[in-house]
Amino acid sequence: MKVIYKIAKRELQMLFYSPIAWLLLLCFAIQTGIIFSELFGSLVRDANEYGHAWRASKTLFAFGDQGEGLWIQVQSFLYFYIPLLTMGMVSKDLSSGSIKLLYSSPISSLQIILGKYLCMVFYALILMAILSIYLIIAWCTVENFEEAWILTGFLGVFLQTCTYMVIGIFMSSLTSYQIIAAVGTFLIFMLMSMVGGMGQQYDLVRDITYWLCINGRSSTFIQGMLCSEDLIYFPVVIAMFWH
Amino acid sequence: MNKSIVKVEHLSHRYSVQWAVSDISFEIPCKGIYGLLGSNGAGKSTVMNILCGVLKQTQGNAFINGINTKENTIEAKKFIGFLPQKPPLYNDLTVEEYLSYTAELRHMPDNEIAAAVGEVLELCAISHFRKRLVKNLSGGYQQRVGIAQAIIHKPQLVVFDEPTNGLDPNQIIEIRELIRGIAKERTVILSTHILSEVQAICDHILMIEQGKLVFSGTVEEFDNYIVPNTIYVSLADAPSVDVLSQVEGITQVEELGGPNFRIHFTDVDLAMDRLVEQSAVNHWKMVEIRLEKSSLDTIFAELSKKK
Repeated sequence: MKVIYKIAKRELQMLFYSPIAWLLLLCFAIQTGIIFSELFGSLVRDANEYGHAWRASKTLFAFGDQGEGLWIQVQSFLYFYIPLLTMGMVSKDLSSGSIKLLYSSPISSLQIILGKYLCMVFYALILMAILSIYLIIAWCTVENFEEAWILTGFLGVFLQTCTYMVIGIFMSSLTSYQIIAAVGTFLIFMLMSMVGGMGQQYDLVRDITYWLCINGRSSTFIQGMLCSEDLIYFPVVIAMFWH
Repeated sequence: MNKSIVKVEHLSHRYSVQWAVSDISFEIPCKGIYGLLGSNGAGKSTVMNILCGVLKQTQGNAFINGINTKENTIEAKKFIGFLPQKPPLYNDLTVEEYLSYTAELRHMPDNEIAAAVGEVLELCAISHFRKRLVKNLSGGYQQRVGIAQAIIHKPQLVVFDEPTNGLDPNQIIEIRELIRGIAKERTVILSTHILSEVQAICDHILMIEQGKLVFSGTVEEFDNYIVPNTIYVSLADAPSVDVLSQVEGITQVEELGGPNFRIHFTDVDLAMDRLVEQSAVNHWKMVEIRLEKSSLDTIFAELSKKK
């Protein structure tokens, strides 16, 4: 466990030595900031106009009269960020030859991958920390804030990020070219989104493709429901790509 | 019973359809520098990668300190330090951070890492670069950092894959000196296709050609692999070639210029005895007489043909 943590720590350090990690954090903060301020602004306008804002928690984070909330919008653009982050996780080691250092050290391949994944989970937590700023602002300002509902959605977004990351690491381990890894990850995300619409006329195929489809998987969480099916889905996909 | 540090039994490895290494067996019982010699593409790196756990062999077994690398890979790797052909560096880390990380990967206790890093920095003469980013070092110093990571955990076996590749002559001399120092306390295997390197630093030679082991022995045995068939003789008051040719046991005489001759013979002892004897009797004033050894290049070429 200690060596996994050490690999994760060093990977995170190296990730932040590259401008991509900082740039993506900046873009994510700006993009989510704009979305949240627009949603929050419209609520403030409603409150000024009508004396109060209806279903404020839901409007801000899930869906409401103003359209899609923060969690839903984050969920829809998250897949742009992850391949750019994960593309170099293993492929960089393969192309630079530093993978031989890891392979010749007394550690298992599982520990190497776990360390790299843990690094990505730390990064996901940083992304979640940015989102939690908006959560705290809303919690402090909205009267009768529906924290359980919103936190469930927050968990859904986090799990979806972790799932995307494991797919990205998997693709990165297949090639020594980072760009191929990024494009491959996009393709897998696309495939996992589109699979839900395939063979819908057949019951069995529909059941299978529904289960494989990642699209809207965290929507159940965003709607405030913790379904065992969705709770199992994310770890299963993570384990599948792990292997 | 003493365990060999390395034991390889019927090792074979295949890349897709082509066999890179085929049925190789050898044993390295003690300390010293072992040169893995062979032309480019002979299979040296494949053998090294298998020994260090980077590759899984197709067939056969490799044992490090008695531990089968196939069955107990992680335990076996604890005894190894490896410098691949291209040093496995993280360019964005400082030398100190990089070496600390490699020590952590080798399960060194946290409280011993700083001292171990200091020690290898000193040994590899890179202490003054400890805070510098690896990517800002020259090729020679990057190679030293690579060597430092291979020995930081004081492994019993250190494997260097072409450690002097791409270095300038001064750096080559320094790296060779460093390797000699390392070999005082542990077993070193180094691969190379440079014959002078083998002669300069190795005690033993394992030569691989086309995936097969064609020679295993000491450097002296390698030197004498081709039985000498000529004698070099220098005579201050030399007779004519015809006179020399009539000495018993001599079949042919070549003039090498001045008082020097190359003598071909049927029986080495007979030819030498008679030459010394005739030189004394006829006052040819012998200055030098010695058996001419084949050059390393000749032996290498000869062994390369052997399959």
